Amino acid sequence: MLSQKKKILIVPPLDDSSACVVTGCEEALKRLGHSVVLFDSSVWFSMCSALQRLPIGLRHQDVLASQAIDLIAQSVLAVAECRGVDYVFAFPQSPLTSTVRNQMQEQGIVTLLWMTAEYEKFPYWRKLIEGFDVVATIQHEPFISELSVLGHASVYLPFAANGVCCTPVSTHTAAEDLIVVLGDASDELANVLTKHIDRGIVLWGNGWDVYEQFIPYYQGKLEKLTRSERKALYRDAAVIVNLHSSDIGSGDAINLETFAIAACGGFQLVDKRTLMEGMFSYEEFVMFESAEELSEQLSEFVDDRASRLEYARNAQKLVLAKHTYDHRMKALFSELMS
Amino acid sequence: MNTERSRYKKPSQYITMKKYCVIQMGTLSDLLQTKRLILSLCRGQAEVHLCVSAAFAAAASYLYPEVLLHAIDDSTEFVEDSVYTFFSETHFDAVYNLHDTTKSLMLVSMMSTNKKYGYWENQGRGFRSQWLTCNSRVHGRERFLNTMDVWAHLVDHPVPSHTVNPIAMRKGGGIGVVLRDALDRTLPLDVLAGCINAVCSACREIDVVLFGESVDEPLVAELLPLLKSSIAAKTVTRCFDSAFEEDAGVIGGLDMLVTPESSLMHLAAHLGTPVNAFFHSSAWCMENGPYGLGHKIWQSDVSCAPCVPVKDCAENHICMHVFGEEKLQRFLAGKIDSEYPEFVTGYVSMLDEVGVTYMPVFGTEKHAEERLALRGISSEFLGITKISKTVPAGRDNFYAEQDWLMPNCLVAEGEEDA
Repeated sequence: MLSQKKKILIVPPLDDSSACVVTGCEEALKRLGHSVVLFDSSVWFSMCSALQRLPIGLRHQDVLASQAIDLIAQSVLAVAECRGVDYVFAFPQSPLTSTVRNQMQEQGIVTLLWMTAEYEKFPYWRKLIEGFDVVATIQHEPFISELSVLGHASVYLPFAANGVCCTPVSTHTAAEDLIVVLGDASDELANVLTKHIDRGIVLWGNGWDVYEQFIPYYQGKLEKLTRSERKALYRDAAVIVNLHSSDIGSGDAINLETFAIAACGGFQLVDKRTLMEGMFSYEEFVMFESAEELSEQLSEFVDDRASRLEYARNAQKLVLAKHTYDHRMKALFSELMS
Repeated sequence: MNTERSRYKKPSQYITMKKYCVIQMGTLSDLLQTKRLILSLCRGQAEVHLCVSAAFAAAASYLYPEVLLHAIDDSTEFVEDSVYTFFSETHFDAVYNLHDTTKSLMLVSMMSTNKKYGYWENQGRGFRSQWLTCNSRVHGRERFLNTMDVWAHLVDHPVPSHTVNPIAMRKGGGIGVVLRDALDRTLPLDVLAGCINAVCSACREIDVVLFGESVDEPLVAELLPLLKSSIAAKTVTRCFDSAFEEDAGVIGGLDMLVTPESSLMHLAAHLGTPVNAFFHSSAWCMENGPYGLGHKIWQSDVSCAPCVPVKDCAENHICMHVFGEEKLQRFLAGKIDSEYPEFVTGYVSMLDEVGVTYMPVFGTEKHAEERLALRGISSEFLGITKISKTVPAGRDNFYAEQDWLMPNCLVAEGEEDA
């Protein structure tokens, strides 16, 4: 049991207020006994969207965008003040400004960011972290040390799965003849995946539509997948190719899909990331380190249902036992309150 | 005319010749400052088109023989039918429009492309590459990037900075002197004469070529008596309308070009002729200095700078007069005293992973820490450095919250913000 119940204001991302990670954190924090206030970011989306459509020049855009973001951030501050919250819990796309975060700090509110973007792909991170007391990050070194140098308390907090998404692997009855590719294209990947088109393939992500052979099978950007679509896809596909990066073997952080696919009982071939070391083993995931290796694994597993189910069961068991949002929130707030 | 289908990559033919277009409707200096971008696009035998003002077509043809040139008449609001037909029927892999002027925006709007960089419009709304937005937030002496590099980094991984211009070296043709800067200003004649005398003394050189316009004849007549007689006797003038190529022929053979911020200064850097530049009022070497190794800049750094230049300067053009100080003239003549004058900083050009920058060798510079921090942040933005060690906490005016919060609220169909 937690020694102290806290009031926590969650500020969801402006562009995806019902993101899996937000719901996961909200539900987990409630289960841990905290009082959670959820700021409604979604209602502000249409205002920002309207501004993004105005037929105006750059100078007016800059002024209006700045005023809009400031207005939303001030609204968050007002909610935080009126509800007397102890913590404000935000994500990279949460509508806050450094000025408002500093005001929150002055009022004794602890500002907390879960940096769910990789810093190399999110160059704005230096501006983003201003005014956050604590930065939890899905990456480890050297980022975590740099955060400390810049004066922030930093916590390694990888993504997780939402346990309620779980369906027993044994109940999966889908036709299982489909290879689902999630991630961005490269010439190298396109080349090897072309060999497997005849097995039945669909592709989600960026860049696949420039390859003529994939046009009939390209579904759109990954962000367009709704939560229920994802759940169905993860559960029903024969093989999910989970690509963190088109530059295979180049990164460290583990993506949200890795955990979500496992929780849903899906079978995935995933490009190996350095932070998987110690967290997962070859018992749970089939990992590849090159496009050629991916091609070999596709050939091997697409017709081997028994092996796929075994991997899926192992992955689901591990994720539910150690890598849910309950585990993450418990670890984070234990650290904060210690 | 390419068909829609031809944009797709075919399985057995991933490498196809790319086709790019650069719209550079700025000044002659701007045209010279586009070199790194053009060199970067020309890699891999790409077909590169360049739109320039008709006035600079000859210069563009000389500077960039590898590109397909489109001379645009910028004296009218419209473009010729042939230009419209060509651009509307040609598909480009990417278009780079470097200015947000009406004519430039009109040109980019008629082009068929998947990717636009720089400035463009769509349904009355202005768009700008994020890189340019970030750079637009940095003002005054905190500006840290040469225009050449600002434009070059619209391309991922532009050609290395050391491959842009040759290392500047003396060629034996004497000292060139540019009389007017980019805004048509001249240094006070006694100051200019003192600088010429001092630089000639340091170089042990008395052959001087003056570059000016035909209206400068009276100015030259006043200047010559102020020069040392041995120098005046060996001074020739080029105060007449000359072809760009002819100027290049002369400048390319000089030992040095003494110049304010000017297009001939950039031409000298392009040709590998050492530049000895005098920057004042609005001119800021970090922003528009000569590109490459081997150049010197004397940067006036009075308290009212940088300014918007006016004819009736309330400070009586003190930023120009500082170059006439006796202490500085001794340095220019190569006599390195222990006491360096105030209000002028002496820089030499150097290169880093982002591009060209300038290292102070005489005097102290202000805002150095801010610029170093911004250079580190920009290096991270460009993916050159993962985590820069030169950026202290809270030193960030390069970004604003709307940079990452607003774009995801709407992605316009058919537009990709670069």
